[in-house]
Amino acid sequence: MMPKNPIPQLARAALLAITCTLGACADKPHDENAALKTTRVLGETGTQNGQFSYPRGMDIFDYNGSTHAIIVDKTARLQLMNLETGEVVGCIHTPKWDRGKPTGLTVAPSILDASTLAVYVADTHEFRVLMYELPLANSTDPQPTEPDFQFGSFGEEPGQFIYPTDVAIATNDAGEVSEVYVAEYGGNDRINHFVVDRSTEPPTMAWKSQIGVPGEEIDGSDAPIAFARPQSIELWTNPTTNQHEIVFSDASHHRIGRATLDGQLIAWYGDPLDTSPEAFKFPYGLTILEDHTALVAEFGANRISRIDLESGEVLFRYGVPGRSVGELAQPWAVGVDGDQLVILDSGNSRLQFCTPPTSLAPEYTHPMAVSSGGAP
Amino acid sequence: MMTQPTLAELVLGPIQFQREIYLVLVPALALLTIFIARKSISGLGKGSRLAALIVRLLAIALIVGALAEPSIRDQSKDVGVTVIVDASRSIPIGAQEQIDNYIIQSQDGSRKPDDQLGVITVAENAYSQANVSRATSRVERQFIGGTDGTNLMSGVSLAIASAPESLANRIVLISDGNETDGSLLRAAQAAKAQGIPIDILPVEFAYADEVIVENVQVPANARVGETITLKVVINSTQPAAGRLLISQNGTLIDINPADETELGKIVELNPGRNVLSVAIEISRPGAISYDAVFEPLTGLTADGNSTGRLGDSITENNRGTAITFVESKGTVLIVADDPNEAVRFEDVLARAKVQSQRITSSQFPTSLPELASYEGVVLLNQSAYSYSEAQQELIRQYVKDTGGGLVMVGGPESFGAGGWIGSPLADALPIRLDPPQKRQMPRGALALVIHSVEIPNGVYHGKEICNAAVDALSRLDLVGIIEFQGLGGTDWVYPLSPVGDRSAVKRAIQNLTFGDMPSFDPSLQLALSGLQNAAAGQKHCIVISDGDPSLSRSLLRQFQQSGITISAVGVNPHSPTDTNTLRTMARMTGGTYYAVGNNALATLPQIFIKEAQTIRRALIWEGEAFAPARTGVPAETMRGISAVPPIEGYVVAAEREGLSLVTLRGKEEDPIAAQWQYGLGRVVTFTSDASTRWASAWVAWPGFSQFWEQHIRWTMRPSGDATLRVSTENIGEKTRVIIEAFDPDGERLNFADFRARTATPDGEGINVEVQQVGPGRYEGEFNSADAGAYVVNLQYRAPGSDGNLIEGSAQAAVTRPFADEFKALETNLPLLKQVASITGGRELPADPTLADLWSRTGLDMPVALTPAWLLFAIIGIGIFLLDVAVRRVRIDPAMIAAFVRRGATKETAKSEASTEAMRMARSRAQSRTGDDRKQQSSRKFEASPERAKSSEPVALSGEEESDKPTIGKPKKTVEKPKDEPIDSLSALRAAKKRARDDMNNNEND
Repeated sequence: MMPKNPIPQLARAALLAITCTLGACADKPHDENAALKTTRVLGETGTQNGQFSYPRGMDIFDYNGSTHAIIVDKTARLQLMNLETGEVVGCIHTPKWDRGKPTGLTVAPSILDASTLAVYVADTHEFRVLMYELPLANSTDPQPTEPDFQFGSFGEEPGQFIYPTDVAIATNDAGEVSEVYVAEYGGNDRINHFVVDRSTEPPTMAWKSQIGVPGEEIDGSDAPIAFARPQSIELWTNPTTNQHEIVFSDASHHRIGRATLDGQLIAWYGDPLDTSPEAFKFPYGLTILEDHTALVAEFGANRISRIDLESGEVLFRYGVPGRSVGELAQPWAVGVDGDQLVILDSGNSRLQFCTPPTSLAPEYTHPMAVSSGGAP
Repeated sequence: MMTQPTLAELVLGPIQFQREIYLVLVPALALLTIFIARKSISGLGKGSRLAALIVRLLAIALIVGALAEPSIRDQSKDVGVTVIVDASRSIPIGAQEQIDNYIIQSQDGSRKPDDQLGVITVAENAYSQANVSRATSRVERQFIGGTDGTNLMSGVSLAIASAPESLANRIVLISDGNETDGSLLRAAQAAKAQGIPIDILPVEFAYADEVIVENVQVPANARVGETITLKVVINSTQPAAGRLLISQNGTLIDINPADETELGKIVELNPGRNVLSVAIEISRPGAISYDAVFEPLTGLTADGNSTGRLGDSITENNRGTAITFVESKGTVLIVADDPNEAVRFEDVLARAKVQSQRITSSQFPTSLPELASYEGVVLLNQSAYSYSEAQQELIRQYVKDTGGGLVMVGGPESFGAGGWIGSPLADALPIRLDPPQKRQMPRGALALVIHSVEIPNGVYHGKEICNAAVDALSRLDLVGIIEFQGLGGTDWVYPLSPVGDRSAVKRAIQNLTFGDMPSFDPSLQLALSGLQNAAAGQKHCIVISDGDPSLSRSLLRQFQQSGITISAVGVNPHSPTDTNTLRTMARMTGGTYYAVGNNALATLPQIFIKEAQTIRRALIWEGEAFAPARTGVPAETMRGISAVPPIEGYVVAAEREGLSLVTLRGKEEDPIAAQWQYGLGRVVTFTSDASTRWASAWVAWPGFSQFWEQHIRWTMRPSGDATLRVSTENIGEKTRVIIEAFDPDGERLNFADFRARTATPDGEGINVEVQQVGPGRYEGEFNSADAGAYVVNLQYRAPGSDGNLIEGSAQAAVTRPFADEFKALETNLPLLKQVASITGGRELPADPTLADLWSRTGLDMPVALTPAWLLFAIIGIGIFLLDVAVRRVRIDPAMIAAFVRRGATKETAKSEASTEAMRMARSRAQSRTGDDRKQQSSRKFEASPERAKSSEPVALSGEEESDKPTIGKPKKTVEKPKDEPIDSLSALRAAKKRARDDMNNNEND
């Protein structure tokens, strides 16, 4: 068998050498369409521990003194990975997945025990939210596991779900989980606001209000907050106004929004009718950083964008579509590990760690609103 | 790239040369270089001369080496094992668990950290359960497909295809070795060619109590009223008891008339082969299929108590089938969904004394023997979607290979408007169903919006659906496909354009990825604008989805306003909401919603044919009544008919080139009635109808009966006057047909000329040569290796005793049972051992701890080749420059050391003095030699021995002026006699001579 690129002539060698030399000397400006500077890849396609089959939800957090990620894929497996070693330290199946698999994960204190971390699973196609306290059982042959706590049922009534996509958790001064926000789509496109009722044992979820309504019109003109698949939600305290806010990705309207916790719209970033290459394209993943910026995983544009949360200004767009290392296929989530960007490269069934174009702040953590990232 | 060196490649340590032939240049050029160097570098000192020679040889070696295309070899140390697990039903469930444990336990001690494991399951089809990977550590069984068969070949082929090139690979086959499809031996040869050994782990089992129905035998043909003997051959491992049940065309028949409560017969089996005979009286004509089933019962002891022992382990292998043909005199099958249409034809045939049977499309035969028992078939206004693709193929084969007749009568659901375009039957018709090229027709436009089909084999089914939809469209229609492609977003993967010959759109279908779109909106928006701009009459959109993408109602309203319908096909929706989304889509736009579950996949292509039909209405012509024109073609079918009544509508089709005859024409010369011979059979098409819808004047026309009787009779297979008794006999992979022929007087029929053809299960037909072997006895043979039903059609011509020609036809059917997953009672160890032996594999021990699955023994470790020609070339060129430098620049370590010792300042001053001295020397030299560049350059290549031995840096030419003492002989200056004419060559020659003399003097010293 012949290796590729057999030598044509020695002249080619000379030309190549000159080209390489000249190429290396060229000044390289920042290119938005450049491949990621990937430093590490974790995972591959497969269904065994350490492998993924189209992973669709991820949260990164500190656990037992090192950075961990919890990831759920299309086999309905939750895998808890130590990002430093790449080792899987917990792996379970959700109890049921005939109709479909979960898509959203959030790590926060347990509803049952404020001192224990738990993963909240938006069990999308089972119309409910599951909660598993950490650690997770670890097995090379993961079994369907009943959650420690769950709520939700199918329906269009207040408090019922069609397709829940993400969960955001707020705690009280005592560190207990006091409020839970659940985003959903499928006709109910809205964010449900629940209050934890601790007068019962175990606690129950009392529906309080909803933020947004399903969007009927493509231009979003039918209501200030008209959703088409709110895929990701985060809680945040605006340092300027010192006001609690909820930030959401309105995926099928291709925009990111901010609202007060009582449902008043503050701002939309992005326009559903904008089809330019700069516009958001199915922003699925949303992660707020300590410096009041947010990372957005754009499922449809195969890239990660960083925006200023207060102005909406895009600080960088990073990533190109493809299958090779350094390229992305339908990223569903993004997070930060130290100075590295961690991208859930769903279509390629892997995590890519890469050096961002500009340095990153840690993921946002707040005493009142503990959401994706950071132990309480 | 991973490769093994071949004979044409040369390996030297870590380097492999791909074009090693160039390396012969090394010694050749080396000799030449040495030869030249004897003179060219003779001016250098011994050491320098050697160094210069070595450097020059090295440069040559490297540059020639680059031409020989060197690559750096990196040999792999890791092994990848692909375990193929037989997951078919013949492997007991307990054994499956043992297999899983075996793989887990065998990893200890055998598997090294970078070794990899992959898992493939195989039953009816092979599926990769885990890629070959470091992470894989156990056997998985996700979707394994149907388990009623074993295709070990597909498993091995998949393992070979997915074996990583970067590893040395082994295959471990865990199976009972009993295959029902494919050829494991052929796959083993392929593995051998790839250098992949197949290790075997036989799953050994034996059923102590087992009963198998080996086959059922009946005569190939019979007559009504005759009593035939049905024989059931049953094999039993132990004495066993049971009930034998016989059904005729699916209905149980009473074979135990003595017992009023029992239809079956209680039988006792002896160990070994048992032949049970049942006498059956034939009561009806046509093809009759007999099923024999053995139901095991617990044995009884001598005193009548149950032994509690069933005597059978697997009940799936207790069934057998056989078919017999019962002669019928010219029965015609009339298929109509509207009884009024059928009644007229029944009357026509009754008056003509032709037997007929009326059915609806849902009752249409599903087997060829059944269909072949009719002499002719009349389809009245039938649409293609009422027939499965297999049934459509059946009709084609019925005409072509069994000589059956077909009359296809039109109507709004028929021909091109009925979705028959592109169907297997279209080939058999004397007209082309696409409209004529020149005809200006309003055309339809269809946009297909494709979403992921999240069911096993979903992508395959999805592609089949698209193909079916495209096949049902006409050449002029527009079709486009929109899909969400993960990396590129939503777009037309096939832009809305004419169907044409379908090749381009089918290529696009093959490339579909069935991406999981988050929202319907971008796709529907594209479809809407595409269809709005399309120059077409009917515009339609079909969405295939599980219904979970989000959807904007305002977009649906735009579809509504543009008059574009959407039909939605919900494949396994995740929730009632998804169903609602799709229902809403169809309801708001006036389309249809179809719900399709996992089990209804086969119906999907039919849905699309029906859907495509909605845009096929354009093929119907309806207008003021006109009488079709009789063409001048003489035809038996039009005998005595010079003119026909007017019609008010028909389905537009095109004339077919070749042997088809058009007897009636409509507008723009469209064929109305056409006929031809297709294979052994004949076909008539009539594109108008035979009802008051389009042909009200025909119904009252006195010639109606004559017209249709003549057309139907022309197509009917001739039954003939002779009596043929046909029997068949399976001999190995062949079937022998034995015919006993008698003339109408009952005498043996001799010298008959037989034209025999067999319709085979693959849809093809084969001719059978039939020869007379005795008085009235004829024999033929055909290959019947494939499983399924074979129908033999025999047409004969023979001289009768009274001089008249006797002709007619007869049929016989043969069934070859499908290889049965449960036929084998024990492990096929010889086959497995043969596979291991062919590929150099091993038989693994039963103890997993002793099974060295990742063994390196016998494996050729693959080598990664990194091309290195550029490296060789660059180093070679670098050394070439060094070669020049060695001869032109002297670097003296001692001097450098002295330089360092003395310090830079002092040395700089000295250096400046030296430079000045050199300049002066050059100027003096020039004054001596004149400014002759040629002379100078010629001298550049001379190095004087004095210079070579000098410890100072030397000027490249001219005389050195130095106050330092010299070592060795006092130097000589180059001086020319002033009166000698200056000539560069003579100067060179003189210089070389002097140099040689000096060197000789030195050596003599």
